Amino acid sequence: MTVRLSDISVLLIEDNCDDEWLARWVMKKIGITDVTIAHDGQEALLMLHGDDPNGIRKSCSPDIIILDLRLPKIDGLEVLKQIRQVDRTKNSTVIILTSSEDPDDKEVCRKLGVTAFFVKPLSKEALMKLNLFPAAL
Amino acid sequence: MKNSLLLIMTASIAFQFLAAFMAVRLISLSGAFIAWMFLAGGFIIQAVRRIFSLLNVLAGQTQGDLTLEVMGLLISIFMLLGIWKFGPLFNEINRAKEAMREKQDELLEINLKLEEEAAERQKAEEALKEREQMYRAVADYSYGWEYWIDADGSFRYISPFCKDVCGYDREEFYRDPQLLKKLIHPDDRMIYEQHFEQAFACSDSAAPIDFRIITLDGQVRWIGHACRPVFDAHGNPNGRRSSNRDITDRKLMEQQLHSLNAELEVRVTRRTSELAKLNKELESFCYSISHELRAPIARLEAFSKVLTECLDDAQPDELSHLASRIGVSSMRLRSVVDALLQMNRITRSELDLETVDVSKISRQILNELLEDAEDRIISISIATDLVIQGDRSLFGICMQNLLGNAFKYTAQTPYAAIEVGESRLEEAPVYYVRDNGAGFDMAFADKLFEPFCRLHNDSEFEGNGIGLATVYRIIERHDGRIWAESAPGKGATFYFTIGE
Repeated sequence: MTVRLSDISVLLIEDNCDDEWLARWVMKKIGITDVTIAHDGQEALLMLHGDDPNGIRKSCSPDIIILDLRLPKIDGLEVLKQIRQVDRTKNSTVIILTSSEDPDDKEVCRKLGVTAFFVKPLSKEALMKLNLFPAAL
Repeated sequence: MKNSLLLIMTASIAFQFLAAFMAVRLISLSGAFIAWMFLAGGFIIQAVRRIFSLLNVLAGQTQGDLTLEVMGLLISIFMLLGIWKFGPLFNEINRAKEAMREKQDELLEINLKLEEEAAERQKAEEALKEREQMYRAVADYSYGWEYWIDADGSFRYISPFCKDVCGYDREEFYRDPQLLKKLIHPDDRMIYEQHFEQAFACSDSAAPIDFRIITLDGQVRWIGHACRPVFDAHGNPNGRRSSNRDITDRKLMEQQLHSLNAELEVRVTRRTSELAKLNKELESFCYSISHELRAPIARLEAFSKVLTECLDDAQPDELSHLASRIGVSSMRLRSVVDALLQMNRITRSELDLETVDVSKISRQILNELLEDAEDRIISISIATDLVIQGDRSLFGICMQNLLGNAFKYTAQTPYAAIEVGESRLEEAPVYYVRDNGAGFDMAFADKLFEPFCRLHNDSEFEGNGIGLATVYRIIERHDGRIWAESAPGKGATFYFTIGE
């Protein structure tokens, strides 16, 4: 069974519009087009774990979650912890995309089980190297 | 007949000479030389006279009278016997004399001995007196409350210094053996009584104790008490020798030291926690700076990569977007650096305190903001005569940020309103800046003033997350407090005090 990258759905949790644009651009280059955006930690958790109370968005189940660590309201590490605590998302593929390569953050992320820890800017080469969809392959 | 006469006469003469000889011999026994010499001379003259009578008889000149001659012989015999008997007499006398002399010598010796003994006794008495004086000096002049006490509490001895410590004369202690117990502080009486019982029960040096007494003039003084058993010559326990020292000064010093220590401990704990908090803040600040500086750099790097890759088939609008975003990232980088420098200046610069008209400053700032956004319609209310003592320049920055936020977060509110006013909290003035804008969730209120903390994402409201951190530091430098009340969509009110 072949998995096309265009079939992969991504939840990009990113508050900065330029970073969002750049990440989308890189993903588009390798063929990932199904990208949903969450602008802060609270919004991301709402999308992953429950229906938006305002009824705007239904909960989503992305194949890959790309997570920035510095986010408004609820920061990235807290989002990751909650992703791992909830059955529905505890086995999700999470890629960290952050501005600063802090060793403590890296250690926490490693313990919480992330597929990759990327420092911005995101490069398509790095993304391509990852076995992005092991469960389906 | 003549022959008998001659024989009697010769015997008489011989006896006479013998008596004379014996008289001379008695000189050695009795002395009395002249007396004996006279007597011996008499005997010799008598003998010579008899010799002449004998010669006359022999010559036939006289016949001699036998009766007279017999009587003469008898006299000679008696005289010889008399002299003879003087010898033993004088011997007796001499012996008696000798015995008497011996007795006298003996008496003399005894007398001498008695005299020696008397002298010795007097010397011993003097030594005793001297020793007694010494012990009394040592005890009575001791610079401490010393005593010797019996098991029934009565005092054998108590030093006069007790008066200096407790105000009571030692005679009073002799009169009332319970006086010491009576003047011990009621809270400490148990300690003393237990110690006393224990000490007399074990006949050993019981551990020293400290207790308080109430002196004659009603003062409370601390006493350090130590005692040891006294034993008599046969090793039997004979009361206890005790010392009471006034340790009030030491106790006060100890108490002071104790409270100082406790205070120091509290201060150290507080400082440590302050320092830990500061360290944590600094750590989180460094963490934030690293992110905030790297983020625009990473963006610039990424945009340049995108530019390189799409140069050949780029659309003009795409290029223009890239160029404008590169500009935004550069500005962001500059604004972060400027904000950091400003924050550093705020933290370090000397405060120049003067009267600051908050109403006037607020009006100026809002006017400037409105000039830059002509399409905005905002209802503005500024209380008059809001005046504080503060640093004009720093306070300007503070109000710029607060009002700038109010202006920014009301951008999407249809009937925007901003209010600057004053209320009272426990009689102290509290100033506030209120808006009816986007507001925030109070669950994140504790993060509000952290540097680079953002409660809204850029797509909602742009910002570098340093404005409120700057405000917080300015208010803190003015010895004030700042806090906020808000709810999402219900606006926000920022309260602050100055110089608390």
